[in-house]
Amino acid sequence: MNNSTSVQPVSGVPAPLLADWRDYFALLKPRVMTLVIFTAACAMVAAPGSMHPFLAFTAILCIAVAAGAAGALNQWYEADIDALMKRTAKRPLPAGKLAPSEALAFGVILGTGSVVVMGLALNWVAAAWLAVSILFYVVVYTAWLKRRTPQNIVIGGAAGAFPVICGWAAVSGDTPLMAWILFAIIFLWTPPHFWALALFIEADYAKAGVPMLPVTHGLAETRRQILLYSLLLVPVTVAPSLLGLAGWAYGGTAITMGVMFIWMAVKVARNTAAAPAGMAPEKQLFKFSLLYLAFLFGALVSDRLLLA
Amino acid sequence: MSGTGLDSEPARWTDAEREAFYARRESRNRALGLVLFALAVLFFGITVVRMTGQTPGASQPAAGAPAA
Repeated sequence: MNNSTSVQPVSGVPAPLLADWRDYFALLKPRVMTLVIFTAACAMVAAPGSMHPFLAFTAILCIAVAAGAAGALNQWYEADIDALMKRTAKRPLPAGKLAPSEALAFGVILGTGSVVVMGLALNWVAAAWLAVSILFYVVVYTAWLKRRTPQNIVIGGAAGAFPVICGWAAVSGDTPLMAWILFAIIFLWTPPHFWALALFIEADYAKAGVPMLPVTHGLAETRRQILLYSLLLVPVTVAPSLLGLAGWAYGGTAITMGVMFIWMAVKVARNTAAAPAGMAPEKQLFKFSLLYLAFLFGALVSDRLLLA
Repeated sequence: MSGTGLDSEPARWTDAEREAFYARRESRNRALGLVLFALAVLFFGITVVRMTGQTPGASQPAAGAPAA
């Protein structure tokens, strides 16, 4: 267990006395939560069936809170390496504003609560997938594989993809092929997105001893893998239209955005810069990848509404 | 709760630390109050929606049960 790093109280005041509500909120990783809410909400619109708006709100709330709980448990477990990286050193645990036991209790209560409410208010299929998503992120990704394999981001991608399954199941009560295609899209999108980021903050990960691909296999191999995953991603994004599961309004967007994505991945693959200052293609791909996912899921929702 | 209550307030706190502690505790209490109120509204809303049968995926009433 890695949360044994003692929290250093500020000015000799015990850590729990220093926290205000913003510190608890920061434990939820609100920026990650926005992506989870967006993709889950899009999946709910795309799923067949109807739902009372209040229950739809409840489902999205449960998915968001579950993602936040997973984030809190992740921070509880990783307080030691968070303290070593500039990007994460100001989080509540490494900053000494919260005690590890508080973060653990906060995460467990929120995670359990979100699963129970999802089960009682929506259905138990969605609740089961919600529980799987939390356990996968915390146990499989955070505790087991993140520090053991350079493919940690690939596994993390699966964890980030579960909300679409939960959202779809909340509406329809099952998880058909289209739900798993959406899962695959986020799963394959995650490595190029995070490796692009990892390339220009590689030194941070090296300092923390996290075996990120740029640290273990070098920059050239990471760039090659970014291109490889991008080439795998784009056909999967077009698959819904090819299989008749979505219209060509979505398909056209997927093809257009996909060509742009691959073009940027090619520019990354051709780049040889070792210093962050020369990594404009990587920064461009990282920013574009966020826009890409938003447009893709936005197009899916528009397509579904047009067809309806 | 041991370690967080007034009974165990560190004796060597400065005025600024004591003031910061009270401000933060108040902010936590207000946030907790809001969360509890929101939960009450959420559970009430879920109950109303489910009891009025506005859930497409909900199980059908048993045969012979009186219609709503």
